[in-house]
Amino acid sequence: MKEGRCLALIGESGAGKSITALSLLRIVPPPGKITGGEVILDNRDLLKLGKEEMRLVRGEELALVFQDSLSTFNPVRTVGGHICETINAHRRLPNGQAKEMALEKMADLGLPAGRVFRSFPFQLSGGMRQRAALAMALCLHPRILITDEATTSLDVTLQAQVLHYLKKHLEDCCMSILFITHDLAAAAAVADQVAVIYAGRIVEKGQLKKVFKQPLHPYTQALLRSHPSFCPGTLKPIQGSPPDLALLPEGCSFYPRCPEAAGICLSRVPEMLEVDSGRQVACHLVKSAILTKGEIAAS
Amino acid sequence: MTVRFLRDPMSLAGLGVILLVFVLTMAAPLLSPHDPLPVSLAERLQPAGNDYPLGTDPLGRCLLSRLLFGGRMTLQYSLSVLLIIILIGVPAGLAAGYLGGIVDSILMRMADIVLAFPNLILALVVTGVLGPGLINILIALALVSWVQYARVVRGMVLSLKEKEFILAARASGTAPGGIIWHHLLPNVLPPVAVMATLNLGSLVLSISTLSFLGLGAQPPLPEWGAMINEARNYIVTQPQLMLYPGTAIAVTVLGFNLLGDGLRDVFDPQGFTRPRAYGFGKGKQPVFVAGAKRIK
Repeated sequence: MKEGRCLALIGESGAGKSITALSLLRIVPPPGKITGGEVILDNRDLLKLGKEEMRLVRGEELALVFQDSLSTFNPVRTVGGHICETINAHRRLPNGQAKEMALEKMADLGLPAGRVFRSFPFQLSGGMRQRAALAMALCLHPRILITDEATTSLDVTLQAQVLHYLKKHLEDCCMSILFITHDLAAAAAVADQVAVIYAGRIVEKGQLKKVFKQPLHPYTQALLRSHPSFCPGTLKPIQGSPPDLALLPEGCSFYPRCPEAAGICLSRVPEMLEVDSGRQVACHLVKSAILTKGEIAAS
Repeated sequence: MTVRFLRDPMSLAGLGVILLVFVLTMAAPLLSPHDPLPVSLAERLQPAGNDYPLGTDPLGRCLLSRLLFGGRMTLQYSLSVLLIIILIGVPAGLAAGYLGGIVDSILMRMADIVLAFPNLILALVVTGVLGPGLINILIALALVSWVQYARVVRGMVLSLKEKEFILAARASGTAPGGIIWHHLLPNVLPPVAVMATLNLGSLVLSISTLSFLGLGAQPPLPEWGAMINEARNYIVTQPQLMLYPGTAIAVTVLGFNLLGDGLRDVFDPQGFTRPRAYGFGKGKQPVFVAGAKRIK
């Protein structure tokens, strides 16, 4: 991820989007465990940090906004209390100053700051609450904001507002956003880069426009086809449901549902292949298609 | 919330009784006509009259004064025990629930052991070892009662821990101490307050019982249970000696239970702490099933 950019992580329910967000922060709920890999932020592997160091990274450098804003807030505390708590977890500030910071951030997001500060979560509407949750995540100016379906539960007008704000913030503050969603339209509105995830693996990655205009991976193609559009008759669901992640099929995890599955897909997991600058796909078929194209060109 | 509490006649009655008992007993030095301690055998077993509103006991002490001072003793010690068991039980429950693992195992096995014996019997044993005295029954009762609180708090923490706001708090970098203090404790306290009120009644009873058995308040100190004990020999000739402290205990315990039930209905509608003990009128039904709809 690059500074000031927005990467959208898209995929259907159960594809592993949320767990990716939780693993980045190292707060995967038990019995889940991070078994391998690296999370690199500024040349530091977050998975190797101590507990206290990691706690300081959360909120300060990596902030997370959840989908359901009602359950994000503790019902017995005021919204202001939550935001001040986040600030105080990282900075030792006199009480008034944390409150000022919180009020300022809320006003930025177009909330009636004074009233929201004193309100309990259930006293606010869903849109206000989600913006308050966003204020909580942004109050420390994190380097990377992870929004886990943060706009999914909002109605379209509010969604547009929040997306607009995120975009503005992105440009103003040199922040990066990891925008996790299954809403392709929302992803298209904010992201510059897209990564498509299926069964816990990224299957296609690249510039937003290129991926959406010319999807290479069969899963991306199918995903785009199952997005409703104004032309009638174009809606095509993907048959079946995502595999149980504990019992992944051998080979490509998408082959049982893939319309174009071939023999090789059954036996080997496809590796990431760079097809264009910054454009990566993990699919045997694309690979062989490129190889044949290359052969034709060579001959 | 307050309206709901105030509309319920039983809760109001409980509140009234408790307030009355508190005012009367805490103002004992002002209200009592005589010193409750000095013995004057010349005035023993006087009938109720102008000088002694409720008469005197076998040692010539003013019964009303002893009743007021005795209640003060009982209530003070009940509240102290309650405070101690909350201060032990709640942190223990929080630790067991939040930390889990070995801490949880150790605390809960201790709780299992204590819960395996009837409370009062265990308190008797502990007092037997420590020797009689009010401070000792205070320790004994605290030792056997904290486990209920630890259990309930642990149970609540286990379910709270799975809530998304805890995850969100962790995601924003809150330290474990902050999570316990700001997120778990405020959620746990209302049911604990209800439990405490309900528990006060039984603590009053336990302290009186232990004093009646001669393990608590030592003569000549007045205490309701001890007063009943002293009145035992006169049960036929002077039944009022036993009736007054007995009634005082019964009314106080009833008051605490009514108040606790009322509070429970307000704070804990799902009946986490215990089903209502005293039904009243139509539509007040004890809730035994969590989440059952109340007909109102």
